[in-house]
Amino acid sequence: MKAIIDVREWQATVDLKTGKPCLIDEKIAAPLRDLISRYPYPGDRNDEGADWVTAIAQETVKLYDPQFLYFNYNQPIFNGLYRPRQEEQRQRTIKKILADCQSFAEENNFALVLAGMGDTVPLKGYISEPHLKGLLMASAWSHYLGGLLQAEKGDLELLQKNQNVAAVIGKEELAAAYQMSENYYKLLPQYLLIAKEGYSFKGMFSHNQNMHYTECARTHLPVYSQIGYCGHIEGLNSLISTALDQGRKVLLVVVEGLGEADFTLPYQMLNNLRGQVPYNGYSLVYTLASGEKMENCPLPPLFDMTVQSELPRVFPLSMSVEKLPEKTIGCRSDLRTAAIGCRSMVTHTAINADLNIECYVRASNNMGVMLSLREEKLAGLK
Amino acid sequence: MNCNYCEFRCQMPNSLCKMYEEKDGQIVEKYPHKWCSYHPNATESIPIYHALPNCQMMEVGSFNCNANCAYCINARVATIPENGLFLFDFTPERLAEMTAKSGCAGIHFGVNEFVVSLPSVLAAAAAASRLGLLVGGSSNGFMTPEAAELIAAKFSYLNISLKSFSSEYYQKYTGLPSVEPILRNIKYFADKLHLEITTPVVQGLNDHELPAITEFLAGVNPNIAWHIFRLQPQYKMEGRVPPDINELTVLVEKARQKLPFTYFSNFIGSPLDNTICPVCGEILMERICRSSCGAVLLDNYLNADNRCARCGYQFPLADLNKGGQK
Repeated sequence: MKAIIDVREWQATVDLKTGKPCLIDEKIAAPLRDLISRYPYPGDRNDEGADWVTAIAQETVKLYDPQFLYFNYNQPIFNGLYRPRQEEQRQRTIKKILADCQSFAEENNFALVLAGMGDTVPLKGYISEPHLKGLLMASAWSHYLGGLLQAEKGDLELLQKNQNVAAVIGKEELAAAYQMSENYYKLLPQYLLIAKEGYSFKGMFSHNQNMHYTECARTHLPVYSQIGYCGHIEGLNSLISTALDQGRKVLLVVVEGLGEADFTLPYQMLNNLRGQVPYNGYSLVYTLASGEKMENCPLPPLFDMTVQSELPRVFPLSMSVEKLPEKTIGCRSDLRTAAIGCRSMVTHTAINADLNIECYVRASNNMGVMLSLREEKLAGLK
Repeated sequence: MNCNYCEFRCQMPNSLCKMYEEKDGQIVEKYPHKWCSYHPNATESIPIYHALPNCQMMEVGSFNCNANCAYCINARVATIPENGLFLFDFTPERLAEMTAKSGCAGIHFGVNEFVVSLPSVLAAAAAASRLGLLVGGSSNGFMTPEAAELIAAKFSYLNISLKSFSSEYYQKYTGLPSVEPILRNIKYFADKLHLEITTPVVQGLNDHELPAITEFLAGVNPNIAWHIFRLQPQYKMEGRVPPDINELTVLVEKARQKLPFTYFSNFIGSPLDNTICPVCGEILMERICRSSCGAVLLDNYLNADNRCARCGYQFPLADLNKGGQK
């Protein structure tokens, strides 16, 4: 997989596995270079990011005519996360996203499947548990998840007594219940922690901005589907695959920060749990794309970022994966697939479509746009 | 009574950084041992390129700053926001213990200007040293000679941001009155510890100064690692177009004629972030810039005694594990 990175008025081409500069077939690359240079990412703090997804998608359809398409929108979650929530604007954005997705699907003959990742709630407080002897780590995405590393005597009791902690799940408990890869086990924290609604962990890796709203563990998520329903999030992939096998085109959309209360399309609530742990963030997107259960994701729902990489480093722009996933719909050799998302790295790392276009934002800093492509598949680009 | 940590030498109680006060005839911190964030970070991301390759340091920040850079990318912690900031309260021993547990080589004081919390920083540095950990930091370099001496006694490395070569620029865009103390401290630290320099470029404002900075740094140490950043202006400069990479590349290539270890980063995929052998042109250390600031190491091609595998050139990699101090 190769990537073109546009940082405004300048582009680099790298091999995603090695991170090193590489050559690319310019016949394929030229229209794609042009595309991302014309659509700089407006930034996570700007609702125009939603228009960015839809506008790039229209161009992608003209260029590649994908049969499977994935969108990710994050504007509803960022409105309120690190700044006071502007409710009216948030409602307008949600309405627009839903309407845009519907009209896009209709105009381009896609069956639409749209999942909300769950609403955020006002922050009641942080869980920092200063008397722990182990290392408390937080997630920069799923703020209700925490991890405990190198726990010592007394740590578990402290967490179990904490009224704001909903669950403390041991790594060994998970390893005994589920078969998981060596890398997944290595990256799983010693204890996975889940906060009660309204609480967020503050620890190692926490963002240094104050939060106003936070995500929370959702046992069920709202889903709108034009290809039927199933009881569980894990089953949606099978429905999508069947529709694709029947020759239908499918648009899968994930909207972060969208819950039942604001879900204006007809919907069903689907079970979102694997054991005690809710699907969210990367694990949710990957499971929708692959049908694989949580423990078979390339990364745990919260991963230990103190694990150091060995040299030569692989996939330096792709979270902490050792390789890109091979079981997603995005990888199907019999289909043309594309993914467009406002969530850096996750788009290509979870979907791994023939063509992935994602914003390149780190710690709220908007660095540009990354487009990754499966060159051999894109030879048929219009 | 005047504070003697930075060159503002504020007369109490008017501490410009709002972090110090006078108590019983002494300058003390208002918020001792309070930290806004802590997380392991690769040395290359700091950036430190000529020491500790592929190591992680526990990056720790407090809050507030003695400068007020118009383009600050960390304004959210460099100025206390209206709704305050969640702060961790860690004793020096706890901070050092967490650093050791995380597998980091030491503590790096960054995020904001650490001199505004110097007593807490030095206490944590002492605790870290007791556990055999290294200590380093990122600074704007505007500290007094007295503070510099305290830092030099505890730190193994520093990255100083030399934002300009002119006091006029410093006054206009950073809130600091003069470049002179910074130049003085760069010379001082170059003799005391491992030193790297960063210059964020705002095109049209300070890019023309790069040749003068080149001359100055070449006089300090011709093998110094100099990181030229393509600044992505934020805060008061949000919306300003980031520098033209092709135009800056020409300036960086020119600087490399005198300072072979000049790097150009702060944008994804920079081709000038690798360490190149100044004798034969072989890549010695290969990196990719993947977010703001520095990079990550992709591979290290130096042989066991830090020589170029092709021509044998002895690369000046600082061995901080053998003491670090010069």
